[in-house]
Amino acid sequence: MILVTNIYKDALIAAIQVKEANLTVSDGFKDEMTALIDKGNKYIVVNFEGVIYVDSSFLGALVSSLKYAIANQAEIVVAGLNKDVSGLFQLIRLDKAFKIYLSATEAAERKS
Amino acid sequence: MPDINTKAFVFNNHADGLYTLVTDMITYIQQHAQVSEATTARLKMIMVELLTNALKHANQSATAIKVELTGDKVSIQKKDSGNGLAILCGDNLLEWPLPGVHHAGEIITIYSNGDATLKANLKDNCTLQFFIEETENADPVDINTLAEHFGLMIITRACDAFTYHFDVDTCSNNFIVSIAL
Repeated sequence: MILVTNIYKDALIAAIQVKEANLTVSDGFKDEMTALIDKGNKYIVVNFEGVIYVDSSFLGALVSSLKYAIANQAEIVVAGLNKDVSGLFQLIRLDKAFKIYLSATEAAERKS
Repeated sequence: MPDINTKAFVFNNHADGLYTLVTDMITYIQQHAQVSEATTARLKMIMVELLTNALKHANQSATAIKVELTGDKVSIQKKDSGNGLAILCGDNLLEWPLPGVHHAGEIITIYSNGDATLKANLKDNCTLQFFIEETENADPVDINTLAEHFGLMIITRACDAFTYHFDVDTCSNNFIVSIAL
């Protein structure tokens, strides 16, 4: 299992459990995100706290999940990015596609 | 003549060795040059993507990485004997080495991602240099048209020059990335 979830207010926080978010876990991550959207969750916070790096395969899975969420009237935001991961989002302009919050709690509270 | 420091690294083509190798290469560079935090971050992104590319495409047990510092520049070269580079440009699958020899000066479009298009300048039938063409005043991001393949885009954005060369003598793929320190 790549994600551990908990409900906080009206948000579902999905915390990534691996330190290295790379191609070995990207397909599993996408499958778990799809399942969470299929269950009817409408506001999902993907918490990257503890993740030391993200590769292009994992980012592809994240974008794919976002497309699926939008098609199902759901929203995905991200939180807890370290400096390197945050820089990567900015480098390839994914900061324009995702709302980015400092922490999962902040992400959940902004929605409320 | 500026000092040249070169070190060869070997990637075992296992994901669990990837970040350790990135850390080793960063340490080597920092031992020989002053590197800003921002440049270090860009170097890490480049290294992660080069090694991820090896995991995906190398088809062998190990990949050679060479790190070279020359004056105020660092170059990273990844060499493997896996399948030649293949890029789907529209409906056309281009595979290196390209057939024929009359390709110098051609520019190919690889993919667009909202406000940027990844392109490559063909130097000859074995060599291309990646670059990005920004779209000014682009519309707000259309999520549904976002690409889901970012590897080449990340490297091209993070570095100052990114070249691929297929060596016909050794049948090897050579990705060469350079970045000013």
